[in-house]
Amino acid sequence: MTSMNQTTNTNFHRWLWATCIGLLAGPFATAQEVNRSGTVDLATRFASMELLFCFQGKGSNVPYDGGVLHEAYARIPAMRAGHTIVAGNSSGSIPAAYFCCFGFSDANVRHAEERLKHGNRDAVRNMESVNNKLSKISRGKSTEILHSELREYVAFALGVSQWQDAQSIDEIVRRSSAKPQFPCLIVACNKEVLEDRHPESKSFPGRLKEIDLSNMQVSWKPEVFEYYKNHPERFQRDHPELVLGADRGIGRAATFFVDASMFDLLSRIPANERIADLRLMTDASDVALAVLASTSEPSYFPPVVDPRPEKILTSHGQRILESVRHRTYYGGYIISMPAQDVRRMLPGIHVLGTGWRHNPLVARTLLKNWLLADCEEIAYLSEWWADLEVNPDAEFESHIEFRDLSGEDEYQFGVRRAKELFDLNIGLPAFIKIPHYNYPAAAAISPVKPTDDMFADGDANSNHRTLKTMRGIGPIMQPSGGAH
Amino acid sequence: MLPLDNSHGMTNALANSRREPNRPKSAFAGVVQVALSLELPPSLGESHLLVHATGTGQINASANRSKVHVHAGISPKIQATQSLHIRPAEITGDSPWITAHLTTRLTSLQMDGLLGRCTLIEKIASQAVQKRLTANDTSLSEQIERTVRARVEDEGFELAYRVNGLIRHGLWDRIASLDFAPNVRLQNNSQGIRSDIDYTRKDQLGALSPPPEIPSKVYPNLDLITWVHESVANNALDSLNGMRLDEATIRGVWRVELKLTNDDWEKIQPAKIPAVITLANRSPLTLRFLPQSIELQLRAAACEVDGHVEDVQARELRIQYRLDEDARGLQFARQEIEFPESLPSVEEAIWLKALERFFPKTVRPLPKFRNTGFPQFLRIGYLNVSRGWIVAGVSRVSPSSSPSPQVPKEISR
Repeated sequence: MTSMNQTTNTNFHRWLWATCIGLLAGPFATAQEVNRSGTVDLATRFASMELLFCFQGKGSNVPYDGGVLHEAYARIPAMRAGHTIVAGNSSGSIPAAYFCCFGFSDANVRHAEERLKHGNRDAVRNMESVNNKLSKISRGKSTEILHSELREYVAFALGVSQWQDAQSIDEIVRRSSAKPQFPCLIVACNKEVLEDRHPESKSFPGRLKEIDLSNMQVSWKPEVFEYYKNHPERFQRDHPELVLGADRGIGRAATFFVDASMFDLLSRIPANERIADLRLMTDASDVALAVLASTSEPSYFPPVVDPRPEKILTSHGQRILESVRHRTYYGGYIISMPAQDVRRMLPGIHVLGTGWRHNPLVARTLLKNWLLADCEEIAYLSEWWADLEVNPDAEFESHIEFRDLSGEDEYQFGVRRAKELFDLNIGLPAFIKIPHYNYPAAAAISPVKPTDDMFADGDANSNHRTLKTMRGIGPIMQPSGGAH
Repeated sequence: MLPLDNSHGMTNALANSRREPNRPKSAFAGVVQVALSLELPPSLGESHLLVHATGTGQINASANRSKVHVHAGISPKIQATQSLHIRPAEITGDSPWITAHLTTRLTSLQMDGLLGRCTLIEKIASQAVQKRLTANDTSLSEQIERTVRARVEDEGFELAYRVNGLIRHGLWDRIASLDFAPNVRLQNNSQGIRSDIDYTRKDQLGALSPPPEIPSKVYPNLDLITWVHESVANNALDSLNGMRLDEATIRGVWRVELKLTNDDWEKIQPAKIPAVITLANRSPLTLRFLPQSIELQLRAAACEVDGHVEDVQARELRIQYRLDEDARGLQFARQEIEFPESLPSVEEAIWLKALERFFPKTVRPLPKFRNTGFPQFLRIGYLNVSRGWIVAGVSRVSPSSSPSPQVPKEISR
């Protein structure tokens, strides 16, 4: 591995390196072991990166993202040149996982557009119906549908064409030879850490925990921690899934599923500054787990237990099972734009999102009461990092709840909106907030092609120069139209 | 439409026969079309829905023994009723009443070999097989009943929750999210389903006057009418004591909850940091619904603009929106923000800068919107503010036209 590092200057070697890391890490690699592969020259691999492309989930509206992908691929040469990192949350994890395994190419983009446009999403759409959900909840029925309803999409992500007769996700994984080979990041929230229901009445918020939005660290409130320290038996009874540590810390609110290269890159951010645990993906089962973990939003699918928690890097090398008895994921809704850590390590890249749908007040309040975090507050902080976000227009929004558009219609909405915003080179959420860690990490990698809009105006000699965001993606876009 | 396909019901009847390699022992396929209708019998204290279903269809059945092949047409006739009771806290359903009658008609009989040439044997076999098919009617009708029952139950409950959703999502949940538990009563009357909701705690006042009447000519055009007394808002707003309200949340209330918007909000604009107002710890907000205007008294303790905590004192101020009409239709137009006490001009400017982010100069109804419970686009078809009440009527937008909302006469004068 060391000799390979000394010669890594070509794309081929970069690819080979990623593959070797994947192969060597294999099924037995742990988070700590792969982290030690840091002798690799990350700068060689990442300095040429120009774009973080985020597939932002919008429930079953995946064809819209297919339309945005079409337009972006036609206009952004960095996607064709392999200078793109892909990220995804919720249903956006599906295309993110696909491009993680197979990379961006004309054929792969065309295939992804087709699958996103024509995949059968009936089961999810039926489950999304608000009245249907309320009706079921009231009758004591579960609203969640089986993960097996995602077989077609997991098969797409893993490159399995013969999936129809597979009865389970496991069967699809067995049929796949896909591996995470291209830089990728998929978001999931950590259920045990976030859940904050009242111990004696699960329908009321517990208000026992607090979250630091600068690094997404969740802790016990001081008085609660003191109480539980003195009443360990009560702690066991109230929180059987958690371990009371020496300090108030419980863990991070979110996990990023990452390929080996991104694992190495993001683990260089000091643990107290990184906003998520890192979960290494080395094979198809890890990629499938990432998709399930990110799509399993509350009320959509049952939460997902990580069968191999030893592949998680928490903070300070702490082993995950020292703070929780198991790790369960509950959807990627929590971070709308997972760009902070990536941009801090790669200050030269631009950030493009396929668009987010903000929660109405009632859903926001319910989620906060249930899972501690105010997802809108986090969205303001996350979306500060966007350079352009292809947010749906009001007309598309009006169709979302009613699910009355065909896949083709939704796809065309995505194409049209992306065209409109790319032409204007603007597209941002209405509201943002400035995150605490808004400057490059100490170990940041300088870009091969520096741009003059990397930093906000201010003290050029400061150690903590604020990164400029919300810039549009002009510098990485070709003038108009494209070869695609 | 309920598609029916190969079933075990028919299979059992001919289970003893030997199967030919390429022919299924028995099969049926076809569709049953079910039409649903709704009845609202008068009721008090709850809303009573009767969901009626009638179904007809055509099922092709076939049975194959080693040398006998029978085809029959089965015509089902189904009637079902699901009775649902919507009460404020729950929706219950009686067990659906359902009948399915099947008429079986033999369409063809084929016998292989020499036996098939004998008319007498053919007749005997025909009767025997037809008898067996008829025996299978019971299991088939049971299966159809089960399928229709599930459909009627599912559709019925979904409809009931759609009705309840208008109340729950439209009003109840929004107030309940402020830790406020409203009291709700429902009834059916000749005009539809009526819901009365009290948003008062024991120590709070409610409406002392009845809601204003809706002009009779307007009434038939409205699909959903909401009367809100100012006490509802004021009782709920009491729970906002000391709360930090941000601009984004309030914009959500304007656009999503109240269906009102400002022209600037519909344009593509740079992102901004939401302004924040911290409310006073006692009686932070009071609303008054005056003739054709809404007055808000606000007691604010602090504010933040563009992420900076501003150097201001706790202040009381008054904001008034007049309901008027311009060439584009109905709008609420804000008057000057008034400070009852004099304050330094610099501080006044800071407060105004913050407040204008929450309370834009004009807001007008969204041209069209969609809401849970109505698949069609909706518009505010009637709006009135009068003597402590605000009344909003919503009607469906026909695809071809979008007339401006009906305005009470006072506005035109």
